Amino acid sequence: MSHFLDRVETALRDDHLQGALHSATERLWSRRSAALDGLENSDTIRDMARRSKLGLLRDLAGNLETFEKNLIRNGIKVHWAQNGKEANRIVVEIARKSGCKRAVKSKSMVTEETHLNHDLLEAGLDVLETDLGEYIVQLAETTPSHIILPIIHMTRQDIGKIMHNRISVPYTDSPEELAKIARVKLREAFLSADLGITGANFGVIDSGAICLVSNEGNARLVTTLPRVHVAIMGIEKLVPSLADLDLMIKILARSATGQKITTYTSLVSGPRRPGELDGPEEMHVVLLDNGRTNILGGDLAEILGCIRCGACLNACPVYKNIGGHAYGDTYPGPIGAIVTPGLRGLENWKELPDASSLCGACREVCPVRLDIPRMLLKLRQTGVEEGRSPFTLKFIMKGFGMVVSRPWLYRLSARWGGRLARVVAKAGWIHKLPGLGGGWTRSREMRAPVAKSFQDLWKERGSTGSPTGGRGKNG
Amino acid sequence: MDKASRTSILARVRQSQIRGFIPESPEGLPDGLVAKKTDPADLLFRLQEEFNLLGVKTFIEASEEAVCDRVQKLIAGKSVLSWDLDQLPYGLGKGLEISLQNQTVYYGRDSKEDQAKAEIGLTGCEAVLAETGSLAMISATGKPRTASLLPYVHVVVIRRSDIVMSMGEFLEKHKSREWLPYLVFITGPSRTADIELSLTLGVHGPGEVIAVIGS
Amino acid sequence: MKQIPSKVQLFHTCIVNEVYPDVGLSVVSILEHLGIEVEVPLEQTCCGQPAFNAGFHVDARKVARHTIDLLLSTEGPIIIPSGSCCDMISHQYHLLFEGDKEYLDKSHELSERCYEFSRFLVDVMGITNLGSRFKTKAAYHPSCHLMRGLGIKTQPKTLLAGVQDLEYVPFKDQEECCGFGGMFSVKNPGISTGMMENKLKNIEASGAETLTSCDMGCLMHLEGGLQRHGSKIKVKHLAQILAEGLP
Repeated sequence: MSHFLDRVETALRDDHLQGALHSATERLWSRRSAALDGLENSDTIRDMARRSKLGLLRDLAGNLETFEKNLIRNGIKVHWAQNGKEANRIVVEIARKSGCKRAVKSKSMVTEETHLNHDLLEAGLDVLETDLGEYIVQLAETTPSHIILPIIHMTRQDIGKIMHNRISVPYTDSPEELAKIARVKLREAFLSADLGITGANFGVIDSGAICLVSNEGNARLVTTLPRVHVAIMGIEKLVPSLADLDLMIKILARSATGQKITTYTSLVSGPRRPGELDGPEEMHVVLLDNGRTNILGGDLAEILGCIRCGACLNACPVYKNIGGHAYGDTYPGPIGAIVTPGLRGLENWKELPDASSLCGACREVCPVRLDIPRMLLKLRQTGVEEGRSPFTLKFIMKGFGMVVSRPWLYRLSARWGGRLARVVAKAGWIHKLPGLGGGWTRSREMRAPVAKSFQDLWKERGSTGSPTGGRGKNG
Repeated sequence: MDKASRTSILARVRQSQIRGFIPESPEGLPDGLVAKKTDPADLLFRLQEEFNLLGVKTFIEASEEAVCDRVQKLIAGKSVLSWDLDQLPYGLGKGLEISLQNQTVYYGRDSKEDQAKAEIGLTGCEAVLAETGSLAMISATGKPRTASLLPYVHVVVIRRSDIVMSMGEFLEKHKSREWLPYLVFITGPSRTADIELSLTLGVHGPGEVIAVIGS
Repeated sequence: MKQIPSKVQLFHTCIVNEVYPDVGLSVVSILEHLGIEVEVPLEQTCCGQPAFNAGFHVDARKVARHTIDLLLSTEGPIIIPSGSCCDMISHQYHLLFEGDKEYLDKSHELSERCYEFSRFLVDVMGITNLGSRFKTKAAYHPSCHLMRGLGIKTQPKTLLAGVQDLEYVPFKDQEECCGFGGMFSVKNPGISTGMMENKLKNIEASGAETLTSCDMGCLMHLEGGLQRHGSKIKVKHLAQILAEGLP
């Protein structure tokens, strides 16, 4: 795979992407603000939701066992998968045993994480994404670039061309027409599908149910028409009770799209009951670890409270500039910069936590107040402790620590560094710097240090230092 | 294989949940949200407001006959996918019996291909949440999920006494059930904003929702 | 209400000392104008944020220990004309010394005494108007560590509103990060530049003549960008505007 910084440069050069990202994130951001302003006691509700999500992690094992027990009581078959491959294998196995051939899916990030479609196709199953955005992603053979708006990076013309080329319909770039075409095509698929695959927005422990939210209604179709329903969920996606679910629903859509509630909020609690004429005959839940226990055992456990609303993406100035694909994995934006190294290990993903100015906009908008900057800093620290930082930076920082903790050495270095800089500078400005400094002068002039420092001027005034603070420990 | 994974995941979770750093929450938070008592007239007013924002066309009728007349007009000449007639509120089933004889009507027992042909879905609902304009639907015998899902138009008949303020209130009522049935909250027409954030209705579910509220 | 102090310490920050000494002098002249005696602990260096943010905690701790020991040996409130450095000392030192009880306690003691410049004027001294006069159209950039880290949103605007002849010009996405972020600006220059250009475009469109803030880090970065653009917009710390216009 390409290097993070290369992907960033590609994204930055893409004017088309820049325009799409800025306008979409701006609109979502303002809708979110308005929606939360309209929610009475929103601050308390967010605190309560946070308490609920983080609280259950303290005994996640016990909670998972209770959840499992209640799912089984409701007639749901429960499976456990340690990694993505295993989860996919379980789904293939279920399909095989029930004789399913054609799968329809509603939007699910966790199946993006496990690359389920790939494994299903390989096992000879048909699989079709039914969320409009995901359907287009599938037709274009790409990946989603936002967790709630998969094709935020595409224009209507792009989408028109993709539909025209891949399913041979007349070209149109009208969103209504495109949606109509998708409705017809996907309706046929729904009626002939025998396997429905979903993720889960929440698993409600005490009810033994999963909650699915969708605006389009495809999640309802997927859980209503096919004979078999399989839901795949990360082990962290639990809430204790319906009352807690109510808190989550209050903040989820408001944070995501600015709606008070998503159009369809479904609580699925088992296969069809006696007397019911629709709904699946069989229902399965696959509980997936895939690195989550590693996260739980460390400094990033808090991130498991994420409810995947995407608000941090829309608020993030970095995301706005580079889009989702630059992050290189399933989860983009601030949340991805933590989840990806958390799930996949820091080794190949150490650039992600570095790619943040730590501005804190994500923490401000997060409905469950995840302290994302703290976790980014932790990851950077871990990276350094694991010896993953480049030699030059290590050298610079070692020097920084040594010099700056010794005032006399600091003054000496500043004096000589300043002199050198003034030699290079023209009229007080440096136009081009070597090494890391080249990153600065790529777009900015560098002001040269002044000949007389503040302390020089201060002493010239005849003022002296603090009588009590003249000497530090190392002074 | 499955069993071994279960054991191993749970063992790892047990170790991790002790080791990991899980921040404490601030103290003094309330245990739960307390629903405020609302005047029934306010409930209806709020519901109308929300329906209006969602683009749900609303008819408020004064009598059972008026409800029946209204529904008859709304579905006239169209093919219908309906809940079983005895499941519709306000004795609507009886009132519609004769007029429906001249129309194509599908029910939950028909094949899903047939059900998918219907132009209008006709249902009642378990409750409606005024705060968000959400219809609470519980699937049961004679109340197929498809009727509020497959046709492009969904006509829902609402008993005025079934209006509650919030989801919390509704769930509170149902939490003591031995098991929770399949439950969906429907809030307005099916929508998507996937293409350039432009709002498009009816991408999978109904593009039009019409509410008839009785007395 | 806190008691009004007669003497304060100035933690001028490294960037002010080496690059923008006038900011330090401005802070001093305002405080002295208010009858407060200013002392400068001369052994001060840097708060250690560059190493901390890059994940080099061992190196950052060396610097932080020096700063803690030095500042705790002084008396009175410590005034810091930088939201970012103040946030580092007030909040991040706690994270740095999680495993070191002695310095953790000291860092808490120190954070009690630290005040960002604008907060000190408004919240401690109760000042909203210094009687300054400064004719300009000023755009204010609320730096992230000031606004989100320290929760200082209104104080700088209050002080600007008290400046006679100063026209405050709002601009689009005012509260969005400028893209500085310390090491971020050189390790991720592309993204940093993208964020900066967005900020500068909005500031330039606002018709501002002066760009002000409470953080010289952000301002050094934005000034460097303005200089590259050939822009006429001048960059000043809030203290400079207040001090230059003092009656």
